[in-house]
Amino acid sequence: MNKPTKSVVIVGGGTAGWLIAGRIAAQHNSKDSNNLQVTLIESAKISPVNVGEGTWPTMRNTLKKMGVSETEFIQQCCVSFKQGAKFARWLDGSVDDFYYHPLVLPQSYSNINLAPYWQTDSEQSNSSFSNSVCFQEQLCEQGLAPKLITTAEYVGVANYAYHLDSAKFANFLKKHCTDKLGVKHIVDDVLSVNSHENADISSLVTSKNGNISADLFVDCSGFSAILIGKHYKTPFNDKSDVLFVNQALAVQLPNQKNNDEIASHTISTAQDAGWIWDIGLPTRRGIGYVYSDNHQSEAQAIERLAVYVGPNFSESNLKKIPIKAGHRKIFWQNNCVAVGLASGFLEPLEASSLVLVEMSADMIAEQLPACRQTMDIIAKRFNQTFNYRWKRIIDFLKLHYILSKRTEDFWLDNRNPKTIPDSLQELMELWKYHSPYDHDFNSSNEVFPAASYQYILYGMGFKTDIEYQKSSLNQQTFAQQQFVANKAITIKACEVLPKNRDLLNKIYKYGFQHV
Amino acid sequence: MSKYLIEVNFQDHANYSVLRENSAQQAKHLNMIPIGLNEVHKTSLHYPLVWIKSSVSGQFKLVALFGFEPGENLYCKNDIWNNNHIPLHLQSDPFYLAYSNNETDKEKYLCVNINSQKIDVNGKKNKTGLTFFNGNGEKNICLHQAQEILATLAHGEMLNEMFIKTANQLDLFQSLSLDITWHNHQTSKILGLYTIDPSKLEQLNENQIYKLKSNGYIEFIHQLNYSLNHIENLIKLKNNLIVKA
Ligand SMILES: Cc1cc2nc3c(=O)[nH]c(=O)nc-3n(C[C@H](O)[C@H](O)[C@H](O)COP(=O)(O)OP(=O)(O)OC[C@H]3O[C@@H](n4cnc5c(N)ncnc54)[C@H](O)[C@@H]3O)c2cc1C
Repeated sequence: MNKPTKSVVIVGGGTAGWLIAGRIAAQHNSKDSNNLQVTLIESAKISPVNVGEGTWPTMRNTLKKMGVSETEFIQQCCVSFKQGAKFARWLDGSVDDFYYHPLVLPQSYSNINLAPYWQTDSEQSNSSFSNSVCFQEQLCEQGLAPKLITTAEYVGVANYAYHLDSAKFANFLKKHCTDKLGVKHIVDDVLSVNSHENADISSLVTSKNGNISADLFVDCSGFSAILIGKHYKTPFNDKSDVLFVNQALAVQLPNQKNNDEIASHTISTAQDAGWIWDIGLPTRRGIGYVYSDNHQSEAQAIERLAVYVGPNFSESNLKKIPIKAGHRKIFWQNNCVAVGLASGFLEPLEASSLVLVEMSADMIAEQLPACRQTMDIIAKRFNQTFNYRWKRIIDFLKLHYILSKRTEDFWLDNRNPKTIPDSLQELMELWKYHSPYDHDFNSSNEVFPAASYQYILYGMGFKTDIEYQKSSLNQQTFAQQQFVANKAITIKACEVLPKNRDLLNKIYKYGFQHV
Repeated sequence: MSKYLIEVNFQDHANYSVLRENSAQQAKHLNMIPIGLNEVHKTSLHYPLVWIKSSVSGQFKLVALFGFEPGENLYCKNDIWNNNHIPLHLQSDPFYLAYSNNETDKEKYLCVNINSQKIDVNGKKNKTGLTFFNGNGEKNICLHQAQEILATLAHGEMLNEMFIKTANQLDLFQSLSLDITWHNHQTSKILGLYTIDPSKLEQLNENQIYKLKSNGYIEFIHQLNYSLNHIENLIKLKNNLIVKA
């Protein structure tokens, strides 16, 4: 039983597979053949989904830990900067209805919860919550970048994530993993599985390379989930009764001109049966409609997307992807752990898919079971941790829907209390009288900070009744100073930061320095 | 090319001359000046040499530091340069090299900034000036000197580029932040300066060290790091002003 873990085999060469391979190989210095060996098998027949263009700021650290140069990543993966999301028409559907979920925390967030002060401060009342406490909305509105060409790589003036070309990203990671990190790459189809007596996987049966054995297997085979689903048949936690979106229609539009402005945020525009994402890359825009086919026919959905895209819309390059909201109840079974789409999927409203891959990669790389004896302990911990995280994400995504005043069936159904998880209902009850703050989320495994809940709640016009806690709001002066400071920072940042497109052009030419 | 930069020629500039020892005038509002690697051995004895990033490209540039904020030159007092050494960049003023746009042969032209306070357009009358040309239309010593200095500067730029490439490959740059408390108890945090991290040298393998040595880079690095001692002097100079104020 105490066989040491000496080899990991990953099935799947989408972004999940290569992120896992890279993180594990970098952490364990797999270049050295005496150390843990990492092999990735991918099918040439089944191509990766190649959607998934929005990341989290965590991606900076993930790439850094893998020894990736940010300059090369930006130059080769068609990357642009992402500074959050703009939610348009989510509240009442009117043309000027929008709010931001920026990536920068509210001003002085660790010292003060500004939310109740924002609500009581008459001067702030005509400014959005995000604009009152954070400078990033203005950067986005003005198409500015989150940093300067003199800022070191992976460092931001404003917190930032990326928009990227998912296919190029997977290729880039493949090259980095195989050239620099010692990951072995096999192009082959996994056909079936051989098992040990204890139901562990002993080897994978492939079509050209025979049996491939390992101590740990990572299932990154996408929606086909060949190990965790087809082989182990671990139960699926279906969440389509909470999150109704079950179809995606995606298109890519080439940029008109090389110097078109590039939005530095994801634009998410609500429709009558779902919402449309709009992600600007240097060479193209990725646009997609995720909707519920229980509320809208495909023909109508295509019509919505066509209207959004405008005259350049063509049905010929439309990609249709059915999606099923939910996740495995057990992610790590025996010596097999599922990551990426194989572990589950939720609508891409807050780009939570890749961040879960990164979090899984962190945990697997850093807590890799030393031997078979400790594997079940780590597996149990992994399953607990990720069940918690999925639950939190589901609550947070649902939060976006329940405060809407839109009146189409899709939106009315979303507000039906029967579709709202108890855990979220409880929080909403609490927030009627208390503004969200870190004490509401005190696990070390949180995904979204309380600040994110604040941005959504108050962006959607939610009011916390602070009458009862008024006597405890004794930091008026300090709060006032923070609002003033934020205004000054906003002006300054808008002055010094370059246009998103201009910074990208400079990065192509000069690159960032390491320091 | 700016309209003030004109190719030097006898026809237009027969009477032009350069005023001597006016570098302080020109530089009193400069808080730094670019330095080439071939100038390091001399300048490191007199000024702190640090790397900054070009605001246009983010690329490293080697400079001699004269002050802590834009416009501040602590070596210049009452238009007198209080240091024994004047960096080449200041010595070359008002002359510049311009390159032809022609891709195939990059011809160099010696140009003069006709707006510079260092030139006198009617030199013959001015005893202190050195005229560009002698009576026969031959270049005078000042033009020959300028050409020499400009060639040295151009060579220095090339050496810097090669050094920066190597230092980047070996990840030798580190950022330097200065936390200074002045005599009047006010504090300044100076950011945006970079140096070569000597501890990184210790992590290099023999091969890498050998390469650095054979290029003379190890010596440069020592000279650069030695020059940082002058920062203390610069702080003193500024403190003197503060106390008097
Ligand atoms: C519409 C949509 C929008 C999205 N937007 C975002 C977003 O904005 N942000 C975000 O973070 N995420 C987003 N995602 C999710 C994101 O696309 C995925 O998390 C990401 O692409 C990782 O996918 P994957 O690697 O798990 O699977 P895939 O990319 O599907 O890769 C599966 C791999 O497994 C291999 N494979 C399968 N079967 C076998 C076999 N039998 N033998 C060998 N190999 C096999 C395939 O060849 C392939 O290489 C979105 C997803 C969808 C559907």
